[in-house]
Amino acid sequence: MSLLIPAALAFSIIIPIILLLYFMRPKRQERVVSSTLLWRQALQDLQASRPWQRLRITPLLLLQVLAAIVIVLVLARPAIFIRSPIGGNAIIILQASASMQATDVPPSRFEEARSLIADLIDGLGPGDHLSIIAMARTPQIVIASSSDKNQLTAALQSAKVTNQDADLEQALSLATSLAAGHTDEQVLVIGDGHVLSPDQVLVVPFPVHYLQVGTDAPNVAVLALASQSIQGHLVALAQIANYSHQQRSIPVELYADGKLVSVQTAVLAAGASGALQWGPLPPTTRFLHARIISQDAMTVDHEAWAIVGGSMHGRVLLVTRGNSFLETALRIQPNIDLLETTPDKYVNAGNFDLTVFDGFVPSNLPAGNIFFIDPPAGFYIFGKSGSEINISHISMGSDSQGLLSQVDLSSIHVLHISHQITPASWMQSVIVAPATPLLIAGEKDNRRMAVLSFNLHDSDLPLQPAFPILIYNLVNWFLPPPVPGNGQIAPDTPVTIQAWPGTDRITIAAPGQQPVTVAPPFPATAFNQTNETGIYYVTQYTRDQQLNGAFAINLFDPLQSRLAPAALLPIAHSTPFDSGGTTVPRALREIWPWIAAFLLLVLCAEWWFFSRNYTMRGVPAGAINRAHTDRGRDKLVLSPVLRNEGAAKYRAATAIATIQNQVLAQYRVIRKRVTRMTKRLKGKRNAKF
Amino acid sequence: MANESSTARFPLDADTLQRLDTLALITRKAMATGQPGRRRSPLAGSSTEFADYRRYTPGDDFRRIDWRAYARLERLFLRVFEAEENLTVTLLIDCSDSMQHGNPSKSSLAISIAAALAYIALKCEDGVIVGALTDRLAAQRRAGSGKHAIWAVGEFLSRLPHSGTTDLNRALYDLNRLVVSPGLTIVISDFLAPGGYQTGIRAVRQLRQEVALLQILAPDEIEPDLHGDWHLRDSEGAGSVDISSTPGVLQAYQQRLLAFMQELASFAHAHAMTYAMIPSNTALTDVVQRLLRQVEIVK
Repeated sequence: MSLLIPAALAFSIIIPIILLLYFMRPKRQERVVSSTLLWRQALQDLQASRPWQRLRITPLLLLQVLAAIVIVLVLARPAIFIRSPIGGNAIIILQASASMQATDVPPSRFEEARSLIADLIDGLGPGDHLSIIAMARTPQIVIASSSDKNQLTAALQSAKVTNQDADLEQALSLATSLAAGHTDEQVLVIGDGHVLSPDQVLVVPFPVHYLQVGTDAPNVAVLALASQSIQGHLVALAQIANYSHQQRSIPVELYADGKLVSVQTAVLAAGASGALQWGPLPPTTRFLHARIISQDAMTVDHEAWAIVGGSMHGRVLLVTRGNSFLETALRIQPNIDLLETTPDKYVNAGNFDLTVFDGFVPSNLPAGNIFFIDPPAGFYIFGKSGSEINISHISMGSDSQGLLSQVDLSSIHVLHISHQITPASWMQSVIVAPATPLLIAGEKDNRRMAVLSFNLHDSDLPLQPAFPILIYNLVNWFLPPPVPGNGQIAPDTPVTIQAWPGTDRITIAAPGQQPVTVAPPFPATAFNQTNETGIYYVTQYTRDQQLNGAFAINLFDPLQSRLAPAALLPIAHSTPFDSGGTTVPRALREIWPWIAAFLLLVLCAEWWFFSRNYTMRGVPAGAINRAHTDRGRDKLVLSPVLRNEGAAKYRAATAIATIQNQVLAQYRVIRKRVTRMTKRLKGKRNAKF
Repeated sequence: MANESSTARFPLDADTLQRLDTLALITRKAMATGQPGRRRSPLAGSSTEFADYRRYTPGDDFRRIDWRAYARLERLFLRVFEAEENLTVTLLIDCSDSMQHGNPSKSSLAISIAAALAYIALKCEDGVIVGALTDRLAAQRRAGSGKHAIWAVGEFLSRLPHSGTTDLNRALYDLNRLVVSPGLTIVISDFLAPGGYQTGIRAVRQLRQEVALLQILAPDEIEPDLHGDWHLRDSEGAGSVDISSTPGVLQAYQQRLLAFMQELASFAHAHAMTYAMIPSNTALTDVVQRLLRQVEIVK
């Protein structure tokens, strides 16, 4: 043990002062009593003639000297070197991925990890600094290099568990930047080790310790949920996984638009996964919800949601004199409601999201998006359509909208004639030939337009696989779904809503939450509050209608659903936390708080002892009662008889009365014996006569 | 006229005296004082109380022969009757300085008790001797017997000396100059004598006295009301002590007081004496009618 302020030992002068006070004879008041005979007999040691009296070791003296010693010790700030789990500059990486929600360690793995960190914070020394990083898909610094335990505790409480996966590589990269400039840095990773597998074992310039949290708890999960149209019937498909060490029967409920369809049970072997199928479902179904009924340590992966078809359906009008290729390609698009008419019957009436003019352009263009195919020669809103010219070579132009994604232009072999298009400045040429652009697309005044400059019948494009893909891309560009793809997004992924042309305002309603406006301004800001799994409703307000879309947030992460904690982290030279090499051997810890607590106890004892003396002085002698010992003798004890009782009651209770009664009783016994003997003698004497 | 005189000179008022009229002093055994009176004597006498038969011997009084017994047994028996005699009650009051302390003072209760016992004795036609004890038998008076003697007792009690140190042994030894016949001696004192009391009381017993010890202690001696540090000075100059009033000190005093009283009670019991401890704040009627009855000094 060492003393941080040894000069404080000078205060130990208080101890001889206390002893001096006890040596000094107290000033006494004089009182004349009838006789000091009994006092002298009882208090032989009170005789004193010198100014100093013999030191009497009283409990009060001992307590005062002890308190003085403890106070001097506290002032000297004693400290001891202890073996501390963390010390110096330490970084704790707290895993905050979905698997940390598992409740196999009550209340949860994340709370257990927080509790462990709180213990480590309590054990921090005065010179220790601690940083905390929450490790999810995007690691965040909870608090950087702080030695304030209150701040550390508050920051720790602010850390939240997520539904994300954990990116250890990024977390270590963040820790490396935090550790820059420090030499004795050490990193402690607390979690279950379910991290994204890096390509190779990570190498970091500081020691990394791994504190494993969690048990190999059984778990089941929904790994996928989708819908499919099979032979005209809508069916739902779910993939269920069993992450336990024994075969399990897993009942799964399926809800279609909130109504229970049926419950199916998947019987899966240990570690196996399988598929369940429900169908046929009502063709108008929009949302599917699958839920595992059984209970286990993790529940966030027990539910899954899916959107049937496109989440937003647009009304499309095809104006053509007959184009079966185009009609077929449009009909297979899941997110449109197609209407068809001929140029003769076309009237600019109705409110369509997309109008496709095939070989025909009306004089008054409708509102909404327009797709021109083989426009007759003339001047239009998109530019000029000239006379037909020969086409020799087809190539990709500027495709910033991704219209040619997965489209193989090399498969087009027959295309000879096309109108010579001169596009407006706001149009981009997506497919070009040396003489003219073949496909142009652009957006103006919240309206999207595209022009295919040739007649589909003059090309083998409709016969190629690229054609339906191109139409799909074009339709999705004209009528974009809220989110790209099938509408299923991993938790905590920022979502940028693709606005429908003409949209004034976009709101997103998370499950159980009020709608949040993400636009205007356009383009819509990224929506970050996607931690909760479930259906997120997207509402787009155009000038005259309200378009409802949705996307689903699902966990679908086998890495997080498999609860068995990892034995090791993919880091070179990482060690488990509980091994001997993890402790910092000589961390200096002050122990004055414990000594101060002991001082408080000493002071309490001193106060109690003093108050007890004070109270005892007030006990009246009349309260001396007789108590019978085990041997049957009488002895005097002090009892808390109230002094306010009358003198008569006291007399009855006094020891003097006890003695009187005792003597009297003995006297009566003797007298009775004498009387009895006298009577007996008299009786004998009378008998003689 | 007599009433005015008693109020002025006798320590007790008429009401108290009236209550004492029903009481009488009792002794443990009959005594042969040789003074005819009302009390039973161990000797045969001429009272009307039949005591026993005994055989006739020549010289006996013929008038005492029981002729009916002779008719039945053809032997001569004399009828023996009990004798009745009076008693001399000696009341000794400690008048040292230590008896002047206490609230109320021990001496005032001692005088009242002495007056009451003297009245009871005189009422029963017993003789009364009163004496004042300090370091010697400081004063004494043989008051005689009969109610008229209460004035002499009252006068003596009103003029008791109130000073001096305590030497019970010497003072009680002086009693042999005063007491010549068997009787009852009642010592009223606090018995806090540095030299002890045993020798003196044994000397009184040698005078064929039946002894009663009435110890009077002040309430602040039974229950010292001391807080803090005190310098206690003896009222009779027997020295002083310094005490710090702690529970341990007070408890030691209580134990010493108890031991002292037990020692006195044991001494009394061993010598067939009567002992009673009376706090000085006890009312006189309570003392006489309850405490002294309990220890069977009066009935």
